Amino acid sequence: MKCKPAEKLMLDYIEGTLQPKQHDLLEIHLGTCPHCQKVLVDYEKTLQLAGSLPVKFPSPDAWGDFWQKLKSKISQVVPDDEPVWVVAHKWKIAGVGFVLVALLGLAGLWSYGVFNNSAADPSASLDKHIFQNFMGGISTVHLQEVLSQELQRLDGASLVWSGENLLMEEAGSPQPSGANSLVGQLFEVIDTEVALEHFEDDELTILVASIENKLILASSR
Amino acid sequence: MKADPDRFLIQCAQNGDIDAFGELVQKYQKRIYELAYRFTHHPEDAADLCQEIFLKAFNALGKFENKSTFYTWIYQIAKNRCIDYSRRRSGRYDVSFVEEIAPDDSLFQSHYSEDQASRRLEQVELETEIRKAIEQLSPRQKQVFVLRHYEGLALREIAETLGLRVGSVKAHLFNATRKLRMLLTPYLDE
Repeated sequence: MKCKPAEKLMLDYIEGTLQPKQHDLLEIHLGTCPHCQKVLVDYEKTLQLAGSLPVKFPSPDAWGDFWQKLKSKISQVVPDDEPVWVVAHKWKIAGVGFVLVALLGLAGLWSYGVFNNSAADPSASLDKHIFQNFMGGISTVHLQEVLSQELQRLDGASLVWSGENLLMEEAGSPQPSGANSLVGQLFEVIDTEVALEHFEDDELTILVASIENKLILASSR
Repeated sequence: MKADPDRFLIQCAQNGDIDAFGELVQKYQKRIYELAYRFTHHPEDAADLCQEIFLKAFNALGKFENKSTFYTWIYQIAKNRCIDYSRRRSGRYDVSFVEEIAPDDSLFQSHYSEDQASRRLEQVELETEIRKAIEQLSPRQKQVFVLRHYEGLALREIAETLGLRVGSVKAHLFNATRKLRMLLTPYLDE
C-alpha cells in the first residue's frame, strides 16, 4: 500500500470501521512508514482538538429570558382559526386551487388569442418589434397625436413613401399592419412636409431625424 | 416504539396551552442550542437560531402526529434549519466573524497563579483558532463534520439528512478533516 491510499483509510481506522483486510494492510504500511505514522497522529490530534471545543452559552440573563422572548414571539403569531378539516387537507386544497388558477389562466390566454385579432395576427409582434427597435423613445400615443394633427392640417394628402418598403423589408414581414401602417402614415406626412417645405415644426423635424437615423442603422445591419 | 414522555405536554400545547410548550422548550433548549452553536460559533446568533427553530416547531405543532418522540421531531427541524443557515452563509465566510472570546476577568484575579492564568489564556486562544479553522470549511464540509463529530450521527443518517450518498459524506468528511489538520498544524505538535 502507498501513502496516498493509506491516508484515505485513516479516518475509518481511527473510528475502527475499517474492513479487516484493509485494516491489516494499513497496519503493515504504518509499520514501515514514519511519514504516515505522523499523519495518523496528526489526524487523531486534529479530531481531539476539534472535539474539545466547548459550547459558549449566552450570558445568564439572556439565557434566562429565552422562553419569555420566545413566548412574546409566539403570541405575535396570528392564531390558527382554520377548521380541522382545512388544516388536515391544506395541501390538497392548495393543489386544487393551483390547478384551477392554472386552468383559468390557460382559458384566459386562449380566449385572448381567439378574440383579440391583433394578438392572433403574427404581424402584431412585428409591430411591437418595430416600435421597440426602430421607434425607441417615441411613444405610440405621441406619434398618433402628431399624425392626427398633421393629417388634419394636410387635409388627407396622400403620398407614396418608398422608405416604408425598406422598413418592412428590414423587419422581414410582407404583410405589416397596426404599428407598421402607422409608421407608413407617419412617413407619408413627413414626405408631404418635406415637399411642402414645412420645417417650422421642430418636433416633427426631431422625429424625422430620429426615424431616419434608425432606418440608416437598420438598413446597414 | 417507546412511549414519548412528552406526550401529555404536546397534547396540551396542541390544544393551545403555550406554557405547556414552554416546558418542552425549557427541557430541550440546551440541546438544540448546542447544535445551533456548532453551526454558528456565536452565542447570540445561536440563541436567535434556536428561537427560530422553536418558533417553527410551535407553528408546525399541529402536524406532529406522535410518530416519533418530540425530541426526534424537533431535532429534525433544528438540523434542517442549521443546514439552511450554513448554506445561506456560504460564499461569505469570514473568519473575523468568529467571536474572539475575551479571557474572563477571573483570570486576572488573585486566586489564579500566574502559571494557571497563562495556561487559561493559551487555551482561550487555541479555542478561537479551532473555531476559525472550522469556519474555513466549505458549508458542506462543515455540515458533515458537525453532524458526525459533535452530533455523533452515523454516516448513513448524515447522508439521508443532506441528500447525499454515503460515499460523498465520507469524502466530505475526509476533506474537512484534512483541511482542519492543515489549518491547525501549529497546534498539533504541542
